[in-house]
Amino acid sequence: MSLLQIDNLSIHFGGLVALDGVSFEVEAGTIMGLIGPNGAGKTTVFNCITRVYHPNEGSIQFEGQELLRLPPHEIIRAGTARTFQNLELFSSMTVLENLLVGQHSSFHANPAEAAFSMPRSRAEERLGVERTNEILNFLRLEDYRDVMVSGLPFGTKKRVELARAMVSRPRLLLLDEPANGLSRGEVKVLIELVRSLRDQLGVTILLVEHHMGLVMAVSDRVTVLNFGRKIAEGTPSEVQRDPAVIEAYLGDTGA
Amino acid sequence: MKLPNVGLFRLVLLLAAAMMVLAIACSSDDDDDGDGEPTEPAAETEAPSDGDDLSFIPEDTTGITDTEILIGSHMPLSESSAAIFGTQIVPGMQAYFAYINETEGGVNGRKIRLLVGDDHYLPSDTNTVVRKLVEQDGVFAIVSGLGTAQHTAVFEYLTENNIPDLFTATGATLFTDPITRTTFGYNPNYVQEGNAIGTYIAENFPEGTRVGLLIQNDDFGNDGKDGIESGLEGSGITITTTETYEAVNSDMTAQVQRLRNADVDVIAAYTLPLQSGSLINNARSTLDWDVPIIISGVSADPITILLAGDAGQAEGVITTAYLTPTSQTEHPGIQKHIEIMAEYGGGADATNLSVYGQSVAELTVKVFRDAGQDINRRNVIAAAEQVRDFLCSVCLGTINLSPTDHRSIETFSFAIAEGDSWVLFGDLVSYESTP
Amino acid sequence: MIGWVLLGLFLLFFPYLHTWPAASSFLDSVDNTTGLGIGGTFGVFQMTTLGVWLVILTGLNILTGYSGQISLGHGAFVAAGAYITAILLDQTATPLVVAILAAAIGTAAIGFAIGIPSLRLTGPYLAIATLAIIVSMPQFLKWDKVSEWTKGSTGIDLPSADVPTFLGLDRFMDDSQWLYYSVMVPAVIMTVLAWNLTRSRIGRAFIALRDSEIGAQQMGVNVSLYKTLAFAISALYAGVGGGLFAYTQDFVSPDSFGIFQSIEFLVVIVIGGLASTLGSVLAAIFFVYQDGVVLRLAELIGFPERLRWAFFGVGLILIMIVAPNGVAGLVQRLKTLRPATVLEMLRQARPSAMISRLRNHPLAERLGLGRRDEHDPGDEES
Repeated sequence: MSLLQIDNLSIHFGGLVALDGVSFEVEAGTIMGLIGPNGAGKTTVFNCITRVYHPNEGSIQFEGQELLRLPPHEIIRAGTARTFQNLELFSSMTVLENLLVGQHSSFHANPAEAAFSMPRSRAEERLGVERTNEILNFLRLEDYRDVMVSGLPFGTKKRVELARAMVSRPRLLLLDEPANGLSRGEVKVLIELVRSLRDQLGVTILLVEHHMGLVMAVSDRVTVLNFGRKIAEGTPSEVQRDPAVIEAYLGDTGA
Repeated sequence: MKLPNVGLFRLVLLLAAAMMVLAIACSSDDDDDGDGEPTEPAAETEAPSDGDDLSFIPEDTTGITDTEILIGSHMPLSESSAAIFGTQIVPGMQAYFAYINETEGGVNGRKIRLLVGDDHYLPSDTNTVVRKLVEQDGVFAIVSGLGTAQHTAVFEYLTENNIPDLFTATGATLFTDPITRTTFGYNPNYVQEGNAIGTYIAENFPEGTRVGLLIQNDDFGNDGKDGIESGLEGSGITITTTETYEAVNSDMTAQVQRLRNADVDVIAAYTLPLQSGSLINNARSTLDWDVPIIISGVSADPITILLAGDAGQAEGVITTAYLTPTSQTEHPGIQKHIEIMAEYGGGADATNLSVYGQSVAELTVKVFRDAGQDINRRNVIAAAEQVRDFLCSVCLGTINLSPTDHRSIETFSFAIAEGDSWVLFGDLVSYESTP
Repeated sequence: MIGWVLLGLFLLFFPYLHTWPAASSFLDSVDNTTGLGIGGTFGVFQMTTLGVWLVILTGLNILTGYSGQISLGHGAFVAAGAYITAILLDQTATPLVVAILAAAIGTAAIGFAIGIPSLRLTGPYLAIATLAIIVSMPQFLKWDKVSEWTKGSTGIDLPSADVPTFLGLDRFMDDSQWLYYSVMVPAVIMTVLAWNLTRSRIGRAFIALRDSEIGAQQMGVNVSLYKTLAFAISALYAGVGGGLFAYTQDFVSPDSFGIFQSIEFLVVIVIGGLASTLGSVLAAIFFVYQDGVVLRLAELIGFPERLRWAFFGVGLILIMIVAPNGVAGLVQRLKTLRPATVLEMLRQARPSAMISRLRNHPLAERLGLGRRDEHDPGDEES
């Protein structure tokens, strides 16, 4: 059974059909790229998985669990974590604090334990800092640990957001346009990084991306959406040859 | 930065535990106290002092020097709509004290200096400013503290510390009934005033008249209602409808409409100027309703007539007054007041409220003078309790005080709106209880 | 660490300072020059009220500073705590500590209950709704059905707090000193608890909510729960503060909690510093001592004391521009401030830059005066 299994996902906003019966699967340990011209519904799929949107129809099974039955804040506890197309970092906090929030769902100290600084709260704080240090080291962000996020350069912010997603130790990582706004050099580094996340930390990745170079370089499989429907799926090279895909991209002046 | 949580945690636990033990022990101790002794310190000090014995008040001369008598007051001067009272009463008081200081060299050779704490009409701020006046500035007495809830906040504090609490600027009965020896009221109380209004209605309207009340939903309104009911007793005239409002609300449209629907023959109102104006305006202008209206003396200010809308709308509305209104420019007391304000008022206008300020100041000067050269907190109370037949320059009736009567003004007149001012009419009504 | 010890000793011995002639004359001379009001028994009373406001403002800072929800009606929660305490002390033989705990729990429950409908409201709408609560509170307190307990418009007059004779305490302290410790001990405890809480996962979740609601939600923060929790914790603090208020003032009435005062709460935490425990402390200091200092200033430079709020208005705007994190933020920044940074700031001091700083201030943003929130996922949901 696949790690993530999406079946017949449909959603419409008023009269606009954003997704129309989309189905695909992501196998554990793979990197799946989700591409398509502007407005194809890529981010909508994302937002359905993370419960920002509630689809009209369909099912999303993660490790056999129906995600659509969970409230949005419990998605991360199921074992997924995400980044955002437009950064959603907590700008008035330091990098460390951002990553501690990233572990919010892993810890359980209640307000009283926190206020009285009870053993569980202190133990969790220590563990949280440890895990933060580990992931910051892995992403070579250790120098920024106590720096305010608001003052960081854009590319670093993106890596911090990645760190914040990874620190909860997800089994499925959802990356929403990670290359967006990065320079050519930074994208190269990103390609290595995405691979190493999968190879060294064993996380499965679902990637929404405009940047074809990145998608084709890292994805094991690619799913292509257009106008809310899946039009192709396969390995990067298969998809690149698919006439429907070529048609969709040629027809779309924006891509 | 390191988190000093561990240390703090232990500290907190320790402190919490210590506090719990202490507090639980203490509070049970408090209960024991409560069973054994009277809980009200006021009662404690009162008990032995029946009759004229004031020996429980120390002969304290705090605030008195060879050249000065320092006194304090709490008034709303800002941050509240009640500031209109403080900002007019205080100049009236200050001007009169300055006048006495200049022309007579003060009282028995001592100049009077008044410090006013702005309490923003907030009881907790009253507490702060009065404690500051007493503990830091070292005032001899508190004079003309304004506001019922505000003064309640410091009443017990002043009583416990035997600080003369002279001529509170409120008509609430709780400061003068029962008697607290160190506290004296000034305004006629609303129950007495209400009784006068009730009596007036009973005498001037036929049996079976339907009376509608509009009252503020607090002690002011409730005391007034009690008074009116007592005045109407046995007259065959009854209150058929009572409408209330909250002090924050100044639009009386709905209340007046309901009074109209209840078909009342006369409206009696315990309202502040803003609401009185709205009441009159709505009745006359909106509803074209020529119902007789009688309002509490609290609204006996030209502003009420102004707020009532177009010229003449307030014409014929009746109220009560206990001081000569500034509109009576031929009155010698008013002429003198206008002179004093011009000379010592620091630019403030002579208004009915500055007249009020001067009248309190006159009574204060009288009491300080009677206390004599060796003025102290005990003999100033004794002097106040001996005031008889004192007629201030702007008062309508005399003031009489005694060990069993701490109510200053108990005589008032009716007044009627004519043009843009209130004109006194009829005989004085007196509730004087000191023979 | 030495700083903490000194602060502790200062707080511990403050009520006795004025009994020591040398220190007393020093405190008095400070008062005479600055108008602060720290000398004599009045100084002890002022410090006692500081403890009361510290608890209340710390609570408001948790709600507004941390979770970013603006309450213009915080006085209503304080009133609830004060009334619960006063009613228990007045009509039952409840010990003070129990009464205050009851006030804390009762007010927290009210806060939670009010927090739930508030979930549907954000920014300016929430501010207006909370304003409505404080406006309607006096009516509620005077309502026939509850006036048996609240004593209607008269209010509840409690006997003033006397030092207990237990353990011979009355030989060591007078009433004012007793009152000081009964307030300062819980105030310090509550402040330390808030300090811990705001630096824990709970406090960080609040800030996360404020900075990015969707980000927080996706990191596993239950948005509704935490928003309501912030209300409840904040109300709990207001309850304790209200209880201490009733005990120190020994009088509560519907007039005790003005609308203006609730707005003043908000102003002082912005000046002190949003989302900072130090900010709450500075806010409380400012709240208690500004009156005397402004009065003194008014005497010195001869400006009418009534213009106090015009003065504050200007001061508030300046603080929002120069120090968006309040005086507490300024203190933190001074540590790292270099001349070059100051020059840079001055160079950027154009009117347009100032206005944009003002609009970007968290409070302005929350009140809908600043830049718009970029995402509102609820909008698109079908």
